Amino acid sequence: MTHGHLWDRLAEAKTRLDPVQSKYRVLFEDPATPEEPAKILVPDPNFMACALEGDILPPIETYQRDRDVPDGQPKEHPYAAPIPAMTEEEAIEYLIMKDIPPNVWRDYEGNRCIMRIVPVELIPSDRNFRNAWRINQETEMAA
Amino acid sequence: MSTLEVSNLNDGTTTVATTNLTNGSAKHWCFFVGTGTIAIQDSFNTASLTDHGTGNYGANLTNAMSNANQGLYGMGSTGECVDNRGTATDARIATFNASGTLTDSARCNSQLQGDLA
Repeated sequence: MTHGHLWDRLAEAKTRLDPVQSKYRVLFEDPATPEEPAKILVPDPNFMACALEGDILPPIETYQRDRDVPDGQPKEHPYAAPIPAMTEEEAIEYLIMKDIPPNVWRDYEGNRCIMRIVPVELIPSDRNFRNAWRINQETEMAA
Repeated sequence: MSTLEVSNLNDGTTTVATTNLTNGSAKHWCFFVGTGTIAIQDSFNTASLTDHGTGNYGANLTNAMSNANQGLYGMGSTGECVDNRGTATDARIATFNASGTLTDSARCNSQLQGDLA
């Protein structure tokens, strides 16, 4: 049986899987844009459901190879065979490698902590001065 | 699951090509709360949302688009919402208040139409 196109698998999964709200968020600062505030990656509940279910999402390596494919050229990830189920923690690592620039999680060699996985309750809900948020280097939380 | 392979649909008077349905449907949508603790409420073809700062959000796609030149639509409950330099893999929107200042929006939507990768 063929595994079909990723978009078709996502559409089919949406009809049968309940969304899963992650208990994690990923804080990161991009060294390429030091003037910008800390960013927050929020996992999608339907994506998390697919990750925990398995046999829907493609290998993370296909996304990484597709970064180098020019726009308009065929991409690998929609047609790749799906991977087995992940744990929630593995799904967060998958999202980091997929949706955060490699210069944050792979290439950065500085001393400053520029990425942190935190429980959602550690993200301030008061967004006053949001554009001044940085990762606190002492407590390793947003401040 | 069975597959129906047809090129056209006919309701008795009007014929429509099935490509109209596939080409015309949204390839991504995301509804999220953009204030307080930001959270995605529901979505399709969304892997995650990046909170880039006040009124500045980006939805990262699970299945990328073929290129960056796609139809992106955004709505925010504060007033104006604009396409904000998205790529083939993310849909960036920015929400403003009536004075034109970037402002967090309690109810935000993004939607993409175009060609999938």
